[in-house]
Amino acid sequence: MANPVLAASGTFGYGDAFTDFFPLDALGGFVTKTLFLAPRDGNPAPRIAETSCGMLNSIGLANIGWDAFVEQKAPLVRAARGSARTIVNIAGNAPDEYAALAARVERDRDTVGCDAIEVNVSCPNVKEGGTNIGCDPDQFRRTVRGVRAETSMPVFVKLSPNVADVVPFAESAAEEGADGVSLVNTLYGMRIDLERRRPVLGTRSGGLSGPAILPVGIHWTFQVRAALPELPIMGIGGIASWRDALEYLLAGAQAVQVGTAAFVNPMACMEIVAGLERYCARHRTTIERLVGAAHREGEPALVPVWTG
Amino acid sequence: MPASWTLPLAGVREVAAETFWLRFPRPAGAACDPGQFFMISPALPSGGLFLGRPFSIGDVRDGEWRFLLRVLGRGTASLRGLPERTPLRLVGPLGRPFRPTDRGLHRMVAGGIGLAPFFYLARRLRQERPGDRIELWYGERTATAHAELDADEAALFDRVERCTDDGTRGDRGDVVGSAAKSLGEAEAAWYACGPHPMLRALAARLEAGGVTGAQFSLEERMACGFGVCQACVVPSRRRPPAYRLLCLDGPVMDPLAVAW
Repeated sequence: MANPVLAASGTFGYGDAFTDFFPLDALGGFVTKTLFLAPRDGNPAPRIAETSCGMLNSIGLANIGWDAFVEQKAPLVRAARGSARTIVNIAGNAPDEYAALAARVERDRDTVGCDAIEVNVSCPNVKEGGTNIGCDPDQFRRTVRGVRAETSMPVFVKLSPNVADVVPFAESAAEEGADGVSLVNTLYGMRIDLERRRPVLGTRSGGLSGPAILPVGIHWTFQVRAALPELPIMGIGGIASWRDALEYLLAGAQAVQVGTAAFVNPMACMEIVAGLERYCARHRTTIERLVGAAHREGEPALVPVWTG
Repeated sequence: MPASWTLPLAGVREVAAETFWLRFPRPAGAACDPGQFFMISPALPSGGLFLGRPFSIGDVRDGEWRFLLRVLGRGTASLRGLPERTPLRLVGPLGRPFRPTDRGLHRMVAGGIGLAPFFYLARRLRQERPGDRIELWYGERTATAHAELDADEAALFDRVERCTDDGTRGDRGDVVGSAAKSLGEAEAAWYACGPHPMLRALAARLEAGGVTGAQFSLEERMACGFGVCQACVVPSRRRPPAYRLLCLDGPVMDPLAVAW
């Protein structure tokens, strides 16, 4: 990758939404909005609520469906992406739907020009009573196994933080053949409207994102890196500046995904790419040498150099 | 084309209770059309506000972009309190503007802070169609909420009809009933902006009166303003799709396309 900064799923459309602001190939890569086999309308408004340093969303995984993506979006993206890696984010209402969609992605991979699959396990299993696939160890394994069996592309599993311990899920993903993990997805949250005395969101609860969740993502990135030092990690959660991105790299992520911050500042990804380059130049180092550096307790910590 | 601008606040001017103009220097060469909007947020990280807020362009004059705001929540309250020269991020112009029409009478119906987009719309109509007649029907709950127009703004309209729910200024009653009395008059291009129940009521009156081609400026919560966050859904009358995104398909929409 040209740089370690990717645009996160659900905050970058299908790769076609930021073309007014910067060229696609200025990114290390991007992850599409979650795609299902069939299109989904999503939830009624209100779908978002502001929080301190963040926001709740309950979009409901609205998406155009795989066929429409291949026909309408993929040609533009393939033409514009240059060196940017294209990662397709997939989901389904049950483990077998994930596998079926993975088979379609594998079949259409050259048409789309995609480099990897990211598996969004943060959906309820509609067929088995709505339990969240990403929080149920058995369904989680079946989902990853099913996707792995259908594709030879790299598979990343996007992990939910809504569990007591994320590390066993990362271990399960690795055991089932995933090539890496993306962490973390949004945290459950709710806000209540004081005048209506009802939850703000139409679905009552939603997913919390934004700078408020940065320390949660850093924590789990560090824990997973410590437990599984060989497993590639894409760090996600609350990254709004190059400093936030660098924390994830130091905690052990090979790359980062920027999401909610780009809603507010469409140039956030570009500012992060530039900030990381300046940091590397100032410290005469490389991204590769920074990855996981916070774990090297045997080495002396650097003496801060204040260069403004 | 939209861009992300960091602009210093040129000033805040109150024109009614809790209602004020937010002014910015217009960047050289930057253009926008009536009905388009900008996402406005603090340029520097702020403890209070996180998301930007969508505001229709209110007026473009004296080298400035102006937005008419009313304090309705934390976002608007914090914007009113900002000192001059505070840098703010403006992402825009975004969305679909009001479209040209061949009718020579323009009737704008404003409920409360829904007044905001009509200054710039009237200004552009004055420039581009100098012979046309422009009417403003403007309702508020009470007299102290009515925005005062300066001489330049007042000259944008050939007729201004004010009303209040409590009768303290202009006709007593809501602006929909007031404006709808003119339905039998000459054929007009109708424009409206205001609270959802007002727009729903006006849409029903216009449809019953056989009016087509009306243009309503709607509002919905947004995080981005350019089609990514998918928050600003408006139920669509003709399905599929079940929803339209207000930021891309609006904010100016044909009321006949909306499932009110």
